[in-house]
Amino acid sequence: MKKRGQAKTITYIIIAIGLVVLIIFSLSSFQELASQQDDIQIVNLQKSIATRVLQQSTRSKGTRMNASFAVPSSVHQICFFDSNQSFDNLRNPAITSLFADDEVNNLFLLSGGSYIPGRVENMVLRKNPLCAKIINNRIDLVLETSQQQTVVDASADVEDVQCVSVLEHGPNEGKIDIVFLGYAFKDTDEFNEEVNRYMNNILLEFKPFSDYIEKFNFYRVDDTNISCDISGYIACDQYQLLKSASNCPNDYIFLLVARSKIAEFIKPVRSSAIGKIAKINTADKPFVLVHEFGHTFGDLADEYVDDNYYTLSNFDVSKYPNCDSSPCDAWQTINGSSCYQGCSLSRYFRPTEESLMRSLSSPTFGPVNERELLKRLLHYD
Amino acid sequence: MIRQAVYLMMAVVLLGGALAATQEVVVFKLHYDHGEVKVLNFTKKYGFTPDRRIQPDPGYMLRVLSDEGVIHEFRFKVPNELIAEGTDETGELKGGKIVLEDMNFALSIPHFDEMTSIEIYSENDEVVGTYLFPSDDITTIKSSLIGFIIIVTIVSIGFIFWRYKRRS
Repeated sequence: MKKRGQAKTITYIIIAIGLVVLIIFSLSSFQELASQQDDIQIVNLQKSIATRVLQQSTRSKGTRMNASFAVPSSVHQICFFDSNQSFDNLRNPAITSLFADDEVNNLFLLSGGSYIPGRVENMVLRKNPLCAKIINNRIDLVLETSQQQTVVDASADVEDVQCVSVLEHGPNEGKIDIVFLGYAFKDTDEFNEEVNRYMNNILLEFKPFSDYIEKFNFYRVDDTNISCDISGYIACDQYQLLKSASNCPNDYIFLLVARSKIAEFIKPVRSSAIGKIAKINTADKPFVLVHEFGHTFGDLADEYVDDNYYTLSNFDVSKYPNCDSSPCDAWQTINGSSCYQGCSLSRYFRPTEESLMRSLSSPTFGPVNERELLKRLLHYD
Repeated sequence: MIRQAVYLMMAVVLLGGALAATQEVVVFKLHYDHGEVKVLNFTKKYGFTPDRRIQPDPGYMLRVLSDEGVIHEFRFKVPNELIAEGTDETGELKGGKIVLEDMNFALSIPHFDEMTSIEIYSENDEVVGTYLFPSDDITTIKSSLIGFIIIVTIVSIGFIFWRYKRRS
């Protein structure tokens, strides 16, 4: 009896140890994932600042621009310091003493207790060192062109900022400019996190976009006076949406609507695409944003079948590159494609059995859709 | 004194250049009704318009006109096709397209000082909408800038004259 009791105790102890190990392992995996996300956002911030400063330096002398940049929550301080310029020891002794010997880097981000150095070309500092205040997950700078360089200063006016750069790769004229708007988020922090999640972890991880990341610029607008009706699907005043979005370069607009899983379970709401605007229910499966972008950017048709809906809409199959009548002559020459029945309507055919335009669980667009998206991507620099 | 006058004139010209670097746009609130398009309202503001590198063909056409003719145009698709979808209880995507024949939408265009009107053409090249800008709107910025330059010039000349008088 005693031996049986002892065996039970040992079993419980082993199970408890196992559970503790599992919890510790999960926590550390989660922390590592969060840290990777922070690293990506930090790189994006460095890249956006460098891009904008370089752009500004090519403008005519005296041109002044305000620029706002999204800052990850893990970054607590952003300082510019150039030890090659004359500097004021008293302005920020911590920075000057740490980096007085660093002749290469001139941008320092404080994250996780240590500074992450970076370099921005063609930059002159109005004050040296210059530490910008982080408010609502962004910093606001004033950039002024002077003799093929950009003079950088921190903006004193933090009320009037309307466009926050999240990730920039070049001048907006040549890039696919995507602006995020938010609705029903409790604060800017939450909105910023969702923007970065959709951008870094979802859209830019998806082929073919993942192969052409440098063709995209991403922005967000924090202050929005958008009114939407969330019943069944997301209906918003397009005029208000565009007035907000036009604060940033805006070839395509993503409106993220914050919803909890519980609210979604009680009353489901559909994500949608209309024109260049995709309205995303954040409680939906993550790939829904990429699916809707397939509509707004690629003009792709849905490959699932819903005869009730589509019969009423005068569906014209000739307008869509990924739906055809049998025997699917439209994509016969494309490897990896075939002719499967069902494309918006059951009487039309699609190129692959599964794709993101058919199911939000699919990790791929398929070769025909990718070809169509690539044609459009190649219009941009 | 001549050098001072030259520097002051250069400052006025450069300041004007700096002001001109900012971009104004016009955002239109439009109503689409079975092929016809009407301007309901518009807002002029600082901001950005889409690049429109990819334009639909066929598509509606918007033309911006001045007294001299067309100064800007682009093709666009009236965004009256709403594709709304979600996952059903089995996890499958369901939904579809709703075509709206009576709806409001919005478009933005760059602002031009000299623009007098816009015209909207259907896919069959028929005029389906026009809008004439009130003349106050177009000349406001031009007048303000010219007025500013005149004032600065007068003040500069007055200052130089005063300095000259003091020296003599």
